[in-house]
Formats: sequence, structure tokens, C-alpha cells
Amino acid sequence: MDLIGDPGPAREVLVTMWTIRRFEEAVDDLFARGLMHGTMHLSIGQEAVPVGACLALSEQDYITSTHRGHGHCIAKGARLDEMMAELLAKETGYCRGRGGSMHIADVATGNLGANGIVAGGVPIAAGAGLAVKMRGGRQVVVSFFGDGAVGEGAWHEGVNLAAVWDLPVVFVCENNHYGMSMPVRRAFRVEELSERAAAYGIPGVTVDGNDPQAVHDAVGDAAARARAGEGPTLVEAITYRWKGHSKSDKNLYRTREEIEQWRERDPIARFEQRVAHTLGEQEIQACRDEARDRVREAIRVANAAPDASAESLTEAVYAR
Amino acid sequence: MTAVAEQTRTLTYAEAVREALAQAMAADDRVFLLGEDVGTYGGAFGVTGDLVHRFGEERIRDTPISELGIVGAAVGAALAGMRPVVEIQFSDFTAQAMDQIVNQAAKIHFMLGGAANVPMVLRAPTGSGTGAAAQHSQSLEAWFAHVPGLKVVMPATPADAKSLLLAAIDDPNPVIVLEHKLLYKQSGPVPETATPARLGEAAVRRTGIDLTIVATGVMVPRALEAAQQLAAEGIEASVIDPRTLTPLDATPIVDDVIRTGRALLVQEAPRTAGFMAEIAATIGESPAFGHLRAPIGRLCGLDVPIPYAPQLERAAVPQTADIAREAADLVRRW
Amino acid sequence: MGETPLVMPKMSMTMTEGTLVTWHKSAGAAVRAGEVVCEVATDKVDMEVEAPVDGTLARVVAQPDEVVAVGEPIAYLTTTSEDLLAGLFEAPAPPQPATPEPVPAPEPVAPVAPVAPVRIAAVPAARRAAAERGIDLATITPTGPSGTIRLTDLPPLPVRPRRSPRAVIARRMSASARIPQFVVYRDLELPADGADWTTAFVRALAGALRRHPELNAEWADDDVRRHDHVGVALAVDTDRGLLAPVLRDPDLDDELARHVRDVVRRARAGRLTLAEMSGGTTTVSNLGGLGVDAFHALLSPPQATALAVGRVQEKVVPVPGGIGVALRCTVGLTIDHRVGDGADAARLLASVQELLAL
Repeated sequence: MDLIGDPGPAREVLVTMWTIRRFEEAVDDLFARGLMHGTMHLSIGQEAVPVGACLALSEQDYITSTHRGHGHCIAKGARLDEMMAELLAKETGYCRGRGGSMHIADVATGNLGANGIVAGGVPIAAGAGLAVKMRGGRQVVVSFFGDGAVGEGAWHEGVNLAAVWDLPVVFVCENNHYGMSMPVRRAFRVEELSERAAAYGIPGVTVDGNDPQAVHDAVGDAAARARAGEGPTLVEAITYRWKGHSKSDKNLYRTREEIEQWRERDPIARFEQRVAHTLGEQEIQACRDEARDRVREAIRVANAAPDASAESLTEAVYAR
Repeated sequence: MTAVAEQTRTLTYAEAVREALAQAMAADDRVFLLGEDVGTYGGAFGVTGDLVHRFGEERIRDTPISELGIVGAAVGAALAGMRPVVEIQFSDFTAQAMDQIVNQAAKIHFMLGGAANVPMVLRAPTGSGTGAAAQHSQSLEAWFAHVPGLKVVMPATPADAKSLLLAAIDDPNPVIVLEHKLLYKQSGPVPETATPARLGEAAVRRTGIDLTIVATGVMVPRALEAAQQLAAEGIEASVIDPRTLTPLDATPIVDDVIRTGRALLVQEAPRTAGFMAEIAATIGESPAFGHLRAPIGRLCGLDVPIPYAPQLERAAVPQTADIAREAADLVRRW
Repeated sequence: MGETPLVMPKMSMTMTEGTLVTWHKSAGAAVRAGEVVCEVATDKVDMEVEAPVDGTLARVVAQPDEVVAVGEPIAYLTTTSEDLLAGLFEAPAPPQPATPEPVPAPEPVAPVAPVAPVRIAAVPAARRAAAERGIDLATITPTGPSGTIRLTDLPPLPVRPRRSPRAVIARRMSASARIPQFVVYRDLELPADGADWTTAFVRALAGALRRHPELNAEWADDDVRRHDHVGVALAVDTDRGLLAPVLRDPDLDDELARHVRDVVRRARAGRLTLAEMSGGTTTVSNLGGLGVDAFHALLSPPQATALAVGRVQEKVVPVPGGIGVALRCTVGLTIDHRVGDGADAARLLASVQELLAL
């Protein structure tokens, strides 16, 4: 898909990236004002990865996500008001207020869930791929995870299982340079995390994670391989998160300068420049407005909903 | 007198488990087994046997040594509509897989507000008595019983090994099935039909008037043996097998203690924070309390890792003679 | 272009307020989104506060060392960027309580303690029994561990003035004597490999009554009233006299032998249940063990039959071509003449013989 020259996809990419950006900013603001509970892991600055990746998928395909999963969720087609309601601890949230930010899932659109455990979703993605393969399906599973996850045993085991069984999984690493505070260069000896793919006998590729087209092409190729039964691929997308790991992050482990440098390479601003000819200034503004309006509407609807109720909590533990 | 004469034959516990798996897989394409050495090798304890020849390598799926990975794969497959049964070679190795069991499988249904569920079964050989020493001999049921969202089952007879496994496979929740290694070769009547038991239903194996013995796993046959010995001394004991630990069917236990006034709770697992502490508290909180004529007794494994030497291994957990002695003591002292 | 508040941000889950440490920008300065404008101290850490938008720092509200609650303004910005959340929270939305309710100070413990009652240790069953019987536990001497009163430490229940056991039997047999009854004897042939004769006779009699339901009955209201079950009362000789616990439908019981043993044992131990003492439709008495060859048992009203079993012994019998040895036993079947006649009794015995030979 040509995300730059083709107005349809270009618009969709821009609106979705802006929606993620505004959603995250809104969440950030709500939290700062004391209106949102718990903690949030914001993906501001990383919008291009999920948008580029999910445009290579269809609604029947699956994703597994991370604790920093709002962007994945939105790009895969989740309803903003149900996401916002979940974060506002409302009964109408995706998880009825029981899961919170790190456990939002939308099984109907193939989102098997964000995960509060680093690399927790990786073996689960392999398992979903196993189910697809055993049923002779053509769906693909995209497993999103960060650079930190590559250090977990679960990552190794999940990738290896997908490799030995040729499962239709695309492993997408959002390398934003830091685990929590641990820089990637101190956590791994390899230069690029995609080098690790060789150890499992699968292809690996590193792309500019702030370029939605690059991400889209790599994930699209990997998805095609997967659907053809050729097994998994590791796609490493280099990106950067502007905000701290979570709300308690003092950013002591990186410099203001570094953050500034990356903000100058804002994926959304870059993309707007690249599609200026395809869409034009008015259309671009319309995209920004649409994103803002969608997020505001989601907040309005969510805020008006009833709070999550403590009734029937114990009945909610087992499925019937 | 049984209402319907079910055709039963004598099978070993291991054969009963195999039969349950075969019948479940024949009836439902979504059911499959994954685990280490379950295929051609036939399973570390010979449970899967020839299943791979009957159902193929896709559905009796050998895996690399990756407990965390394969339990996670089972979670994912279950979320995507399959009914996986994952065999962990020794219950001790569930420690490798704890994140996927406790943080993922157990919690997904609740965390997602009911939007999804994880219909998987994790089966593992459990317990001591084979000289396998500390890291291959544990009884960890209390760990799992303590996690909301899991169901925990300990079949003590071949018939239950089959019917409880069928029920576990049917259940829409993650179920942990702990099979005691020493029971695999025990024989007993097993119905031919594939009738699942009900999870959360205890079995009263014997009714007496002098005390209520509650036992799990391999302690069930030991308790029954002890009850025979006690009968010769004029002490009649009830023996109740909870079968499912969570959710617990406490009613038959409470009712029996109301009748007998004495309870002796027997487990192989170490005493401290074991599951019998849960049953003891449940009895104490129940109407049975006012009928107690003796303190609730627990007979458990020692708080030690399972030792290697055979006499030490035996000494570390309750044997039949211990049960009989403790029971007689309880009745005579109170 | 109005003023947008820059609020004290919530920077951790437990933070409720922060202290302004220092301003990096002064009033009137231009700010860029993401630029640090000030530092605040929280319960955990000192944090930098970034400007959320491009604009100008219009006025500073919080001074250094001032404590400001989360969500309250510390400064105001003017900006051309719009406030994403403008108007969505008209009335200040009640902040979600992020911290648990403050725990109220515990009530001061009353310094004056009442005189502590003497604590008596007793098992719950003993407490309950004492309460029911109006016994003061302080009067009971404990014999259990740690000075705990056991159930058996309570005085035995006062014995009701009991009729002597003979009186009970006397009453029943006198009633029996008023019933027109007769006895039919037969020398039964028993299978050579048999054992546990009591069980065998109980089962055979029950099976025979099942075949002759007109005899599994009682005379009542001027008519024969049939029972819907067969209850065989088994006469057991005990220290407390003759007891006759009932085995229900013993011909259908796969575990009859065990149940017979169990019931005899409990009868002798005085541990029969009330339910077991009723429901009999016939009685089996066996004096064979005591050497009696044959006898006539009296009916136990309202039962219409009773079987008296004598000694099982080997006897010399004629066999084709000579003499042989067989196991024989003389039984006496007593029958209520209002319910059955001689032929009925004979037929019942024939069925008993048949069932024993199986």
C-alpha cells in the first residue's frame, strides 16, 4: 500500500496517528489533573509503528500488545470511548473497569490484549498462531513488544516455538532505546536487535519506526510470508518515546537534549511534510481536527458513563 | 444399587487419563495436547502412550523444553478458539511457567471484563515416592488454589482421573490437574463412556461415625487403608475426597464433621500454608464448629524439601500407618 | 485567547499534593511544548514540569515552597494551542479518589477493664451440650489436653426410668400370643460350599417374600395390607437383651454381607440408629450357632411371618445308589393365620429353599 502518494491510505495514516497522539495527550492531561487513576504508559512519539503495521492487517488478524498499548489498540480499530471509559474506571469500559490501561483488549477486532508483563504476549501470540495454523486459517498474528522484552525468557521461548512450528506470526519490536531506564546498548551485545532473528533461523529486518511506510512495507512482507506458511519474521522498528516510561519517571537516564532531538523528528510532523502534495494543507488540518474531535467525543461519552460497580466482582472470576 | 449399569472395566490411572484424552480429541477437533516428550516417547510417565499414532503429531505435539513458552502458547491457542491440554512433565516445572499460569491464564477473563476466556487444561504429575528428590517431587496445589481464576483438581482414582479430566477439558476456565505419580499404575474400575464428572463436587468414599478424614491425591487410598485398620479396632472413620480444591465443595465435609465431631485433614504437601489449612478454617467457620469435640487435626508432609534416601522420603510425608495412628489418637484423646 | 491553567500534575499514584521548588521560566517568557517550566517536589521524587503547549507563561501563581494540591493551578499560560480537554469537565469533576480514605484515628482503648471472667476451655460440642442441659461448665472437671473439657467429661445423661428390657419383650410377646399363628417346619438343603448363613437366610427370605407379596403384609383394619418394601429384622442377642435391627430390601443389596456384619456389630455396641429399628416386615432368628436344632419363633406384631433358623449340620442322606452327606438346616416358619394358611407357608418355604440353593 502506498501510504504517501495514495490519498486514501495517507489520510487514514494521518488521522490514526493524530488520534493516537491526541488520545495519549488527553490521558496525560487527565492524569496530571488527578482525574485518572493508576499509572499510564504513553506512546507519544511512537505512533508510526502501530499505524504502519496494522494497515498491513485485516480485521481477522490478531495482535498482542504491551503495557504501552494504547496505540496498538487504536490502530487495530478499537472504540475510543470504550478505551477512555476503561481508563476512567467506568462500567462501560472495555474491561468494565477491571483491567485498566495495561489489560485493554478488543477480541472482536482481533486484539488479544495489552499485557502488564513484559514479553507476556509473545508466547500467547505464538499460541494464537498455532491455533490459526491447526485450523488451516490464513490469519496472521502480530506480536508487539519493546526492546526490553527481548531480554525475557518468554520472548526467547515464544519466538523459538513460532520458528520451529512455522507459525504465522510477525514479531514487531518497538525499539525505543530504553527498557525502563536501561539503554538498549547496555542490555544487549548486538548492534541491532533484528540480528537475533538469525539465532532462531528466521528473517529479521530493522526499519525506521518513525516512518509509517517503512514499517508498513516490512510488516506487510512479513505478513505475506506468514500467510504463505513460511513462518515468522522479526521486524525491529526504531523509534523513541517522548514521555517517561510511566508517570513516575523522572527521566534521569536520558538527557533533555536527546529528548529534544527526537521530538524534532516527530513522526507525525515528518509524515505531514511527506504527504503535503498528496493531501494538501486543508485536508491535513481536517485530519487533525477529526482526531481531536474523536478524542474529545470519546472523553465526553466516557465521562458521562456510570462508574464501575463492585457488585458481582466474585462472579466475574470464572467463565460460565 | 446403581440406576444404570455402566459398562466398566479395570484400567490403570494412566490408561484412564489416556482414554479421556483420546475420547475428548475424538469428539472435538479443538482439543489437542502439547508437552515435552508426549509424542513418540509416549510421555515421561507413559500416559500419552500411543496417542500420537492415533491422532498424529499435530494434535499430540512434542515441544522443545520451554515450559513458559508452551503454557503461553496454550493461553494464546485457547484465546484463539482451541482447547489445548498442556502437559508439564513434573509439577515442579510449573515454576518455569508461572507468569503464563498466574498472570495470564488465571486473570485474562477477569481483567478483560468477561470479554474473553482461556479454556485450557494444564496436567502435571505431582508428588513424591519415586526417589526423584526435591526438585521433582513437590505437591504445589496450594500455590494454584491461591490464585483466583484457576480451578485445581486432584483425581485420586482411575475413574476420577478420566471423568475429572474430561470435565476439565469441557470447562471454559484454566484448570490445573495434578496427577499423583504413585497412582499412575493403580488399577480401578473405569466406565467406558465419556461422561465428565462435575468439577467442584467432593466424593464421600466411606462413611463412619467416629471421625471425618479428608484427604487428597495419594492420601485418599492411604486414608481408606487406614480406615480399614481402624475398623478392626472399633473406630469407624469417614473418608472424604474433595477431588476439586478450587472451587471447594465444603458441604459434605461440614455435614460429616457435624455427625462425627472430629476432623483429621491429610495432605502430602508440607504443613505450612497447605491446602488443608484452608479446609480447617472452612470447617471452623461453618456450623460444624459447634459440634466439634476435638481440635481439627492436620496430618501433613514435613516442612522440608523432599529428601532423596527412600527412608527419608517416606518419613517426610504421611504413610498409612501415620494416618491410622493419628486418627486413633484423635479419637482416644477427645 | 484566554488563559489556560498549568496545574500541579499528579506524578505518581499516591501523590495528593506537591511543593513548588523553583521556576525555570518567569512570567512573560515564551515556552515550547515539552520545555521544562518549573520543578516540584512530591512525596517520592523531585520532578520537572513541562509546558503542555507552545505559548507564553502569563502569570505564576505558586511561589517556591508553596504546597499545592494536585489539579490546582500553579501558573497560567496563554496559548494559541487549544486545550484538548476544554469544556469536557464543566463542573470541576470530582477527582477520582486516588488515595484510600484516610484511616480514622483509632478510638482510645478504655483504660478500665472489667473483671476478667474465668476462661474455661471446652470443646465446642461440650459447650453446646452443657448449654442445652443447663450445666455450668465451671462445675466440670476437665480431663482433656491443656485442661480442656472434653465431651465425655460432662455427666452422662440422666437415665430415664427405664422399663427393664424384659418388660419390653414381655409386652411384645404377650401381644404376639393373642395372634392366631402356627409354625411350619422344613429341613432345608444348603449348598455345600456356602457360608455366612445368616446373610444367606436373610437374602433368601426377602427374595421369597418378594415372590409371595401376599405374605409380606400385615393384618390391619380387618384386611391383609401388603407392604411396599421387604424389611428383614435380624434378631441379635446383645448385653442389652434381644435387639432386631431391620435390613431394608436385603435381596437387592449387593453389599448385604457387609451390612449384616456392620449392623450386628453396632447392635452389640449399642450404636443402632432409630431408623434401623423400624420398618420390619418379617424377622429372622438364628439359634443354630447356639446348638439349637429347630425352634418356633413367636411373631413380632405387626409382622405376619418369622423364620427360625436352626443348626446347620451335615446329615446322612439317601442318594441315588446309596448314602451321602449333605448340609441341612431345619427352619421353622411362623405365620399369622389371618394373613396366610398352611399351604401359603409351605409355598413360601419352598421359595426359600429354591433361593438358598442358587
